[in-house]
Amino acid sequence: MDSIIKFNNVTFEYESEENTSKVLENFSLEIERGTFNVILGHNGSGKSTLAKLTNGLIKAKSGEVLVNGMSTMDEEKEIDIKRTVGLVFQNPDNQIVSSIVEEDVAFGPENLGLSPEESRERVDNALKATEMYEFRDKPTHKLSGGQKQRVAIAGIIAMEPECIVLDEPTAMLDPRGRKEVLNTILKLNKEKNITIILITHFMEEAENAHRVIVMNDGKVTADGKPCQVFAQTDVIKEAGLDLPQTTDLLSKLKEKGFSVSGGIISADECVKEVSKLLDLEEI
Amino acid sequence: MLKDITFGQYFPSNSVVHKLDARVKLVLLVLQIVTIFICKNFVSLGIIALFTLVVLFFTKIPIKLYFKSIKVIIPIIIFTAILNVFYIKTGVVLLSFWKITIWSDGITKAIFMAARVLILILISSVLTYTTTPNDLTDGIERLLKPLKFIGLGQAVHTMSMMMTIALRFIPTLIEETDKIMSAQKARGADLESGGIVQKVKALLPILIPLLISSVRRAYELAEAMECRCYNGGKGRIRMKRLKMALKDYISVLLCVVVLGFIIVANNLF
Amino acid sequence: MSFLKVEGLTHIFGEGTPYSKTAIKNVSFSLEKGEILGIIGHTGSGKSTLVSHLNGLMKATSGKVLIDSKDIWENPKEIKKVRSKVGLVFQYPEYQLFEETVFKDIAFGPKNIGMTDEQITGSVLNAAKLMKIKDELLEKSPFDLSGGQKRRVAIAGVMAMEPEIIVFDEPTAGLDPKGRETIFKAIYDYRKEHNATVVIVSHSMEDIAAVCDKVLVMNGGEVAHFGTTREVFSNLDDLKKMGLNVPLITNVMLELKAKYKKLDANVLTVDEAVNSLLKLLVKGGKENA
Repeated sequence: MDSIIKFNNVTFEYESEENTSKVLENFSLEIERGTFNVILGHNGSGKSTLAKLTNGLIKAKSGEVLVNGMSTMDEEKEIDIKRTVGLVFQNPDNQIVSSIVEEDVAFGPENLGLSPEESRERVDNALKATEMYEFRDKPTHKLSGGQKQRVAIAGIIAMEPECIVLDEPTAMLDPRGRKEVLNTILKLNKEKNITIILITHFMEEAENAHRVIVMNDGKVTADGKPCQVFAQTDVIKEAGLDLPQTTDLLSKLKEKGFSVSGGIISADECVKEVSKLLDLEEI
Repeated sequence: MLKDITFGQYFPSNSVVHKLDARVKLVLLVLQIVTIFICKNFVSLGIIALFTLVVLFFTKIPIKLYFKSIKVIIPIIIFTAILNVFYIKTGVVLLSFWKITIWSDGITKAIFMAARVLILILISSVLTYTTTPNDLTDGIERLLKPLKFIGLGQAVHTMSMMMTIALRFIPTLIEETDKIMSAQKARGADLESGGIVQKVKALLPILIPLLISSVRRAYELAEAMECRCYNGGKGRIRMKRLKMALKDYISVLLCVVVLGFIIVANNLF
Repeated sequence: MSFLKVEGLTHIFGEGTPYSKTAIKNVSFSLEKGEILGIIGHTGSGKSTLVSHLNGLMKATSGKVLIDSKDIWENPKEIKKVRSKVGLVFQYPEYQLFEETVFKDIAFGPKNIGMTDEQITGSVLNAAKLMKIKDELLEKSPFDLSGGQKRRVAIAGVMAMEPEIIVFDEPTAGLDPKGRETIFKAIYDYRKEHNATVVIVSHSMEDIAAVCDKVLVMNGGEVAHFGTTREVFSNLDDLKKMGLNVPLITNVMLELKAKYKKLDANVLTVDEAVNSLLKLLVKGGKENA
């Protein structure tokens, strides 16, 4: 597999005065270039740590994290790695540096020392890719949550990374903002072929992923295509996640002895699946 | 409400004032402030007032917004005006009752001072209303660039970065203060009554959460900035170039001409 | 006579200026003791403005809020007393914590409304129990807790005031399923213990359907629907027009009903849906049938 990010036996622990707690232990994972990956887990399952390890924001205690073959421990590669893997965080308010949309998006390219012309081109492209171009001269604090988060994403895209890691980017948004951000992420993967790692606890957001990884207590407890992973309802419940009502309905029907296929999330497919059962009845 | 403060905000528009070089605007503001303070009589003050109104008009920003910025400062203006009325005891006695005597010079001086402060605020608002915070800090940074010859280059950059971030977070923190105040009021906190000690004590439930959330924000922002390859401004090239154009030279010329008129008016009348 | 009655509530921001904006318009509804109301609507539909009127944090341009048939603004000087009757938990309430210890923070509200020391201790311990805050946490600094624990402490701080009406603005925003469950369970327990009237503002139709007796739909500052949860969620088309939705399971069942007329699609939860389907699925489908 052509992997962009590789975790090799990574161990990470937080040290506080009272105790040290291992968040990840001998953790290994490979992410394939160009794919859309969703990492699911409850709060404290180690998924935020994972995000910060991917671009060297925090360093592993033992083991290594490789980005395009470059180790995040290698200080000389620090900028190269951050240019390759961009991070988007949960609270959009706390990642916007400037009061004006386009000036904020320009922050990354400016730091890279690009020429003003190139910065301008990248900023415009990034704003168009996130559909925020018409807001380019607006004050950032007047935007809605979803719009702010899209500006934050544009700020990362302007650095033209190969991979974007998003740590619960929709947790603080309303349904509309959530949809906006999710559509933007999907589009970036499809149209720009950017590798996506979306970390979330909303299972619905994993519906269109190429690969879903469930994490619990710093370990991967399920890994595969969405339909394969969602069929493992026990693992999902154990990981402290909520089954979408559609998946829940089908799994409960299955428990009652009806033959339905598991791993379904979308309402349309759920309707189809139940229809198959109802069609067998004479009604 | 806290949200009504417009002073220091930016209002986008495509006016010629918006397009002026930020450095020029900064230098001209200093020049204008000097001009306002050398005005000696109502004629020269009238000239600068007229000029200011013309500038306001050229910014294409609704005049209402300018007056909104004044609203906050009116109590201070009235206060200084009243002080003037009572403390100046020259000219003709206009009114005398009980222990108070009001002199004509007091009234004149009060009006003069109030007008001066008003013009000052209006012209300062022009700068912040028409210049994006980044342009503004960028302008300051560039104007202070010569300081690098005495080893202060990094300090200048750090200061301008701090200003950018401060300007960016002012609205966020104002909103947050509103929210925390409501939340504590809902928990029965009494923010209005009591003596000074009680009032200061009553502020703690607002200040502590605000401080803690600011620290958290700062920490998260630092991480986000690191992810965007910020390393203290080394090798940073700004996207927007500041370039002096014809309109910049013309505006400098205009302001100098106005200054000339004022000096003449000061001596003639 | 209803316990909480809102009559023709209208709030205009900046009335008389060119910037005036009507945030809520002619909002009326009423609730009995012990009822749980869910409020749904878009961001900006006036939900937050509406709930800020219930404890007198905002004063309406016109209209009234009556508790136990008494106008809360009858004596404006006494408005602070209303805050001990109506508790309001804001969005992300963990940002309001400030005391040295968890215990003191929960005690802040009770102290402000003039409970005796004995009452305070009792109500703090009780609220902590409801919110599943362990005893050993009470003497810790609230800032050493995890995000989910902080949220629970903040909610306990309002519950300890023992209000008869308690309002939650997005109580579970940003929490994972486990955290969500704990909070809804505590809301239920509090209502049972105090026979309290509960108002919950939420974006999650599934949560509203599972928890609430009645639902109020806000749209553009006005009440679009008010009724029992089942009634309101039977208006799929109308809710969709407002950019809202019904719970996912209700949606699925309504789509099935379009094809199979006999199906009872009037369901709010997955268990109800299973039962409704089982009534029709008698013969076929079973693997071993």
